[in-house]
Amino acid sequence: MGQDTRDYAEGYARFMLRHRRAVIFLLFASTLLALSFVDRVNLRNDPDSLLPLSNRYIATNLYSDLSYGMGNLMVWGMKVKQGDIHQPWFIRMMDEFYRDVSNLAFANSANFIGLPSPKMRNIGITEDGSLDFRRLLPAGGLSDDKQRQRSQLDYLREGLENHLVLESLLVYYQDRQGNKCEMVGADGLISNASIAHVHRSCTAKGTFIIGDFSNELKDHHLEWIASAKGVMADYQARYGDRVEFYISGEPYFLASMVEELWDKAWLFGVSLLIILLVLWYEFRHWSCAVLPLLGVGMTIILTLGLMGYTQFRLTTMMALTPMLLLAIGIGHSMQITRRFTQELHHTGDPEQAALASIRHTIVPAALSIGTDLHGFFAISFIDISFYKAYAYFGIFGMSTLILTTTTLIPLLMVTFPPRLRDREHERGWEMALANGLTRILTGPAKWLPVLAVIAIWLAAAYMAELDRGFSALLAGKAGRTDPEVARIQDEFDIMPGVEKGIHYPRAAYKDRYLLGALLGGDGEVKVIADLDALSSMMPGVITANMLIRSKQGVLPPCGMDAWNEKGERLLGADRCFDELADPPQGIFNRAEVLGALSAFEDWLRGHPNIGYTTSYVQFVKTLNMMLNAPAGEPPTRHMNLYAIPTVEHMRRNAYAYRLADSGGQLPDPDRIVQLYSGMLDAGAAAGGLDSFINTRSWDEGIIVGFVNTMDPRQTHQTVIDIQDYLRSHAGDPGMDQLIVGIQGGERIRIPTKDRQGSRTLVTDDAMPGKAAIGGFLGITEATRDVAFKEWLNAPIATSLTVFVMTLIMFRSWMIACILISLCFITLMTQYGLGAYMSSIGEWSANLAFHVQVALSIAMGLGVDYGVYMVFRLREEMSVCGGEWREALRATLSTTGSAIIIAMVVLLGSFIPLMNTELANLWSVSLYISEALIMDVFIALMVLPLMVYWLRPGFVFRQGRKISRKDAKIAKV
Amino acid sequence: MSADEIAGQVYTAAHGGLVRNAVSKRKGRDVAVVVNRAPLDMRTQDRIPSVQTFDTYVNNNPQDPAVETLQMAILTSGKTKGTGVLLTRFADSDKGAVISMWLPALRKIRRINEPSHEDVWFGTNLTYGELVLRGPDDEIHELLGEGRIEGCLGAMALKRWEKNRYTLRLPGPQCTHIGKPVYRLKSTTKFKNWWYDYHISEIDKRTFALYRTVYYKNGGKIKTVYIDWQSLDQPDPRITYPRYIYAVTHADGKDSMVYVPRSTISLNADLGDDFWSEETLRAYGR
Repeated sequence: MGQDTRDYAEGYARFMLRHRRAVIFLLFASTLLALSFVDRVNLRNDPDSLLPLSNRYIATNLYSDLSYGMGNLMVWGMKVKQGDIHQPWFIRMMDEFYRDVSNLAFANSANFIGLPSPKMRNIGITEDGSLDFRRLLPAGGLSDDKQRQRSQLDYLREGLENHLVLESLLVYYQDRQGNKCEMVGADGLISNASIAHVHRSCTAKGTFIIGDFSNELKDHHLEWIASAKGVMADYQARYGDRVEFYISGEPYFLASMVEELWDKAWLFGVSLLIILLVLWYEFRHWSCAVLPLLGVGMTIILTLGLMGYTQFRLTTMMALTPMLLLAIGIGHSMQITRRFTQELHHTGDPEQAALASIRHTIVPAALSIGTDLHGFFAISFIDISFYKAYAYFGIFGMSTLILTTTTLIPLLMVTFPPRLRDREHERGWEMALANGLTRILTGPAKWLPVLAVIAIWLAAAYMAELDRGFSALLAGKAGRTDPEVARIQDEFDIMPGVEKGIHYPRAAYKDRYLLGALLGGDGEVKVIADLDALSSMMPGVITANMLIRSKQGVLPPCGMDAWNEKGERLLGADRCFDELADPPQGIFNRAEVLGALSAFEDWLRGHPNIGYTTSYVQFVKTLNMMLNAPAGEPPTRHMNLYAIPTVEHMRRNAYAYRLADSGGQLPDPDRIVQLYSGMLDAGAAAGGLDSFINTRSWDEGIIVGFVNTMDPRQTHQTVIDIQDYLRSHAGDPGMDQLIVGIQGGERIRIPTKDRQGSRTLVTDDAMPGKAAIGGFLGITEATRDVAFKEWLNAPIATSLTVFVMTLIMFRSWMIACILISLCFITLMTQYGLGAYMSSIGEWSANLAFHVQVALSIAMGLGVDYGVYMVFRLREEMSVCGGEWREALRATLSTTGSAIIIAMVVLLGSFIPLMNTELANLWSVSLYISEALIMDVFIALMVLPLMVYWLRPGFVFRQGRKISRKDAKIAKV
Repeated sequence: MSADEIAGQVYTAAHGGLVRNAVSKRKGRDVAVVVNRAPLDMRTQDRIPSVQTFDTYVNNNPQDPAVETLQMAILTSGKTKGTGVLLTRFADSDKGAVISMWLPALRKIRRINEPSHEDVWFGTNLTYGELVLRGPDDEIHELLGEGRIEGCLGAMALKRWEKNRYTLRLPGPQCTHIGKPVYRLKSTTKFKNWWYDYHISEIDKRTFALYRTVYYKNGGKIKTVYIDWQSLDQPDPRITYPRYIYAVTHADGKDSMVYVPRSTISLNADLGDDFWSEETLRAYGR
């Protein structure tokens, strides 16, 4: 087999050399073609499209977005520096600002909420006792007449203070100490007392505009964010001395990430410069520095071109792919360049040098790239879009390295041969390194690296709370009375100290970054600073959407065939629904259901992590209060009527409901809520109610909660609490008629982008009995679910492929076991790193699902070093006649030093990734860098000891003739 | 005629100022109806246009000199069936109108103050301003010229799956007005930051019937309203009735149609002013 391989390698080298002009031309032509597709790269950064749509949380979120909109919410916050918000200039500014942001591209202006919104209506009475339902701020804005303006401002203030539905969402109150005043009382409910306390003791210092944008925005990120920032900059310039402006929201977040990537693209140049300098230092000739970069650059362009051609939906995380290709490609480039210079030194003929270098390098390069691909191959099976993108484009890019580096560089060097130097062999530092390490590894100090690795492993296990995880698993059924033990068992969370959930904003952005400080700023990341500020002012900044649907369903509307020409009904009320003739259908026309949902919302509002909720139920409650408060009295004086008119409620508040002409009887609750739904429907503008309820069927709707935390542990707990509430109240009157969220095994139709067609997805049933929640809370929980599924699976799958590959490569169980064991040490340290980050609450770098991709990639890359070392040890043992010390010294001086340079190049190329504002790139780079440093340490200081102590036959079988193939691999 | 005079005539004709009272009341299967259709993006097979039937009673000549008009509408179908609305407008223009609403499910009358000009009317894409509140003084008028009606007046074109027994008989586009001489009047709103900048109307030179109004904002068309005014065979040709009003919003395609069959209409009925009262609303509700 070795002979065959040699022949293939030589044949390949000769073929390439013979057709080198054609090969060079074709590679350059392909690169140019790929270059033309690079600008079509679909960088859209859409977290809810990254995760599998079959996940019930994601499906619920998608269904909610498609049915009710509100999937791309933006928040603008404005806080006055002096006085309160009820100043004419501020209200005028708000009015203008509201119009400007409503006119931004892709705005669903009907869903915008803010003080100038048409939805902001008074809930009061006029002087003559009529109900007053006018807009709080006139559509034409404040009057120029001072007296009229004063009365308009008073009207606005009074109306706001009476607005039960929107005041707590839109107005930020602050006490004299600068603390936020909560509208919700200690009992979790809004009451006359809690509101009065806020109005009496606090000042309205800020207000917000909440805007909704369509999904088309995601195809025009950069143009949109430029216009959004333009609006902000304009107002900042005009009012910045009097107003603090804040901006946040999913579209802004995602768009600014893409923008940040393009803004910091120059850091890629820094990376290239670092590599250029390292290569020049290594070879001391510019062609040896430039040509490797050229080859790797072609691979990067080919890969980016493929991304553009395929229109695969990518995220900013994909910036890692070119960097990985650069780092890994440079390693291969160094190997081939070094071999070429060695051969040139021996023969003096560039063509001969090219032939020999390709022939000797192509096989080990292919094997090495094969091991690199393991990590990508393993993650290609995971149903997460960006994992697949990493895998597909990583595999493609790395495969091209065979052509663009191992083949192309020597071919180009035939034309541009480097100048030969006298000293071609090892540098002084390499010998010093080899001598020093050999002394340690063959003397009494050899235990130090072993102890160091054990200590690191134990520290990592301690941080990850491995002991607690195993104890919980061993506790069995008896231990399940402890909810945490039950959770660990259910989720097989053997490392509970490692948080696998995600804090999306911090996973996307750091809170501070070094480059910002170096460039003269304060290093603060504005996106996060604004979000933190808004979080402290608003009731909540991420949504939790509870999709409410009936169990029973409704009849379809009657068509023309339901009645004949004489006006006789042909299809009965059991076959189709005639909205004018039949009793109203749909659960939202039943007081009992609305009452149950109202109780659910009250519970939600009382939850410590939920600051606010809104739904159709709130409209009904408001209308009920307005219409039933005694004539001539302000409705808000009767907050007890801010309720669903169930029988119980009306009995308790009979003074407001008793029918004067029916002997004190109470009205029919269902007829009341049906009247309300008719009135609300008739009074709403186009789409006004459709954000909350399906006005086609009145059988489904949505409760939108605003969650006031993004801490991954607290968001998960919030989801659990909601699910527990729904489970424990599933049999309550009203609740027993509805289901919450998309169910397992359900088929959902998703319209295509052009809305002409649709596709069907079927949800999985991975969480039976649990309600699926949408909104960003649902996405966060789904991400956690995916992370829990993959945090062990993906590395184990990778390690299996690595094991099999090394077993085939070395045909030695022991070598394969040693290498995989060492990989597991590195893996444990990565878990330890995640545990440490979790313990300090650094949510940019805990082991969230996007970071987990680093585990597999690092394992694939890291095993390379062990492979090189084992091959070289085997060769040197043969050359040195079994003299371990000498073989080790020679191995460390050659392969060992090359590993260190490769690591330096890789780390150097990661510098740009770690210095943008983006946390996702930083965290993945951090985990890969940590693993590589650990891998190098283990490969140089632990692997030789393991080999020495366990004496695998592959290395120690004296007298065995080393195949030429193995010798070549070892040399490289 | 000047532009302002034309606008004044249009207002008088459109608001029924030429008759003492006017009634539209169900007759057999004929009934006035409002049909609302969702914006194009939201139209699905399970979303047929919503329908609301109603009777109306308009008193343009109340005895009380302080009251300018009394308008009463009774909703006769659906979830709001029996709901009655009485709108009282006062001669003193500074005094806002009052709405009394009978709520059958609660068996209560609630009074509500005057809606704003921009508030939508019965879930349509027409506003109270367009239908009721806007007066000639709220706009600056400019006569662009004279011409003739070109093309048919638009109407709601329903797909087969959108139709049911209530929308089956909706009228199609009205072409009989083609060629009629019209004034072309440009009216620019005096309100700040308004939903339109101006509208251009085509007004019948003889009857002052307003056939077609196109609203513009920032130079672009935003809404077109067609009204098919038909003669009531009265000596004064200005006494007409709107057989249908069709309004379409150009940005999202939402459209609404109000259809009033001729058979439902009667003029100058023998009804006393006390008919336009909360008592009548209660009686209808029961």
